Amino acid sequence: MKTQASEILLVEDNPYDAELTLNALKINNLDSKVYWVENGEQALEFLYAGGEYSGRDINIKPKLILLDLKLPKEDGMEVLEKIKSDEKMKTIPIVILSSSREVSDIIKSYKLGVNSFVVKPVDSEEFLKSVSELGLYWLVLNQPPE
Amino acid sequence: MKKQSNIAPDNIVELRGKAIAKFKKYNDEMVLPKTKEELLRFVQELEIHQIELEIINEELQESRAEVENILEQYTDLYDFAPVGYFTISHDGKILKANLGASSMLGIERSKLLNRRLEQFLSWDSITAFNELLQRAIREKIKVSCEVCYIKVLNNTITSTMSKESSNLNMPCAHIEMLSSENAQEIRIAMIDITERKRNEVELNKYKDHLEEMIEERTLQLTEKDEILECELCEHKKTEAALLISNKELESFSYSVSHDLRAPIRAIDGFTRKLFEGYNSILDDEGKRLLDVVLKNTKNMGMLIDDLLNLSRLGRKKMEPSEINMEELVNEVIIELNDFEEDKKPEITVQHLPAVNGDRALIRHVIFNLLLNSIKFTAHREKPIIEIGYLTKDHQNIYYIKDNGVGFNMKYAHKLFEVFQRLHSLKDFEGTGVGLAIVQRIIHRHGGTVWAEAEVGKGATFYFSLHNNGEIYEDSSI
Repeated sequence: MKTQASEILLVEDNPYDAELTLNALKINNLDSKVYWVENGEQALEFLYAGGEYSGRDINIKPKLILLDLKLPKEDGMEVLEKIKSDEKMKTIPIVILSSSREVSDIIKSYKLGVNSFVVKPVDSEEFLKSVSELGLYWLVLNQPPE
Repeated sequence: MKKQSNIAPDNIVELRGKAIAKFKKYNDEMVLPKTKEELLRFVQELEIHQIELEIINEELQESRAEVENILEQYTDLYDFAPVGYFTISHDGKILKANLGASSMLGIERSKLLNRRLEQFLSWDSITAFNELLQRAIREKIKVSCEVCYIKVLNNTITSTMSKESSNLNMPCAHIEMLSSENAQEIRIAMIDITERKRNEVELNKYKDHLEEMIEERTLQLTEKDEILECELCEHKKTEAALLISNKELESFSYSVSHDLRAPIRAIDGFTRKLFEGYNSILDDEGKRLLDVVLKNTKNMGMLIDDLLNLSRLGRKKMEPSEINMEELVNEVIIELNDFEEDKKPEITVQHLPAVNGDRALIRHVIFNLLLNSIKFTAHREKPIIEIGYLTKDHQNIYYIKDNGVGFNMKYAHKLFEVFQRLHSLKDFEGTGVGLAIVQRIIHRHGGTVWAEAEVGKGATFYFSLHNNGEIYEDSSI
């Protein structure tokens, strides 16, 4: 896996949702830039070049983190908080992709500094549409901080 | 001297004898008159005396008549008094009795006289009576006691009651006794108190019984009270449990709906991939089968999302404010107009009064109802929708009226149930949760929602808020 050149970090525990996400990003040819981890612990290890990722260059930061909220071990909100409170990492755009539409979750994540909150549609066609547009926006249209 | 006198001849002789005797007492001899003049004067004086006497006699007669009259009255009073009067001697013998006494004892007056009064009393009363008699004679004041007496039937005197007889059913009387100064005559008034005594006994019985009854009743009531308190306690517990259960249920249905989304999305996504990726090698039947799967997952997805909405709106915290209904309705119309492009219905909005409520939730209500109206009038040449309000029984009732397909009033009660649809899916799409959401919101505002319709003509949905005057706050939240 080309961990170095990964521009999108996908943090998703459900493999089917992960596959659908990749399919969606493939529409705009962004799938090759994705690195997928299954939980929060791995996500942080990846970012901070810890554990099995100790060979990674910590200065190469992903252009986008797609973050699911419901994760085993450390949940999405904790990961969000950790990243956004770290001076070196807080500039990475994070988009929460979640099944939850709970207002409390939305407000809390914005207060923690999330860049966008998207609710995963239950209809797969809509899901594909939303994620592909999302990817296009953040990787092509949006200007990254670095 | 020729005057008549009322005195009988024998008495006249007696009288003269008495008079002469008396005369002789005060005069030694009888002195005869000497002269004619003396004689005449003497006779004159005698005649005057005679007249005086006659006058006196007349007066006496009058007095006597009066006395007799009074005596008659007195006798009447005495005889017919409603009590028994006795006059007895110092040794208890009946000297006199009135009719009242006679009837009280049941014995003819003549048969009472000279008998001892104690003969007619009960065994137990004799001692008391005699003691009383002694006291009356001794103290010369009015004394009294109660006795039981024998009432006789058929005019035969029975022998004195023996000791063993009980007094319970004997007649009783109250006796008042007063002795004359010389203790030769003692006057007795005897008042029957049998009835009174009987009543007293009855009353006491009832009194005791009443107290018993009261005690019983109090016990009963205390028991009932305890039971009711228990029930109340139970009810409160049940209520609390229900509230918790309700909250848990809503929580549960939320998390279930929430967790179902991912798998549905997966089924939908992968089936679609299959459909698109292997389209070329599928025959018509194969394509049809996959199409059915996709349609159903889509439906399932919508149901889940609707359920989630229903649950969310039921749990959302109410934020009441004054709502400008006209403004809100127009807002929703604009949003829906963007929605529908083909046939724009003619929508008229009357003047609507403002109301207190949660704006977001009421918006939802209007959105849903209006959406329904638009949906069910879509087939019409000229869809007409009217939004207005009316007042009935001091309530503000808002309504949305359309000329759509309507429904059969027979099923009106099912309208607001979750997933209840009155039209088939192929005629009109929808999951049947919309109205359930509307009702939930209206109920949270303490209001009511209902509908009237006619098949083929159209439907009108009515709702009012705050029937009880306040916003109903969900205490579970």
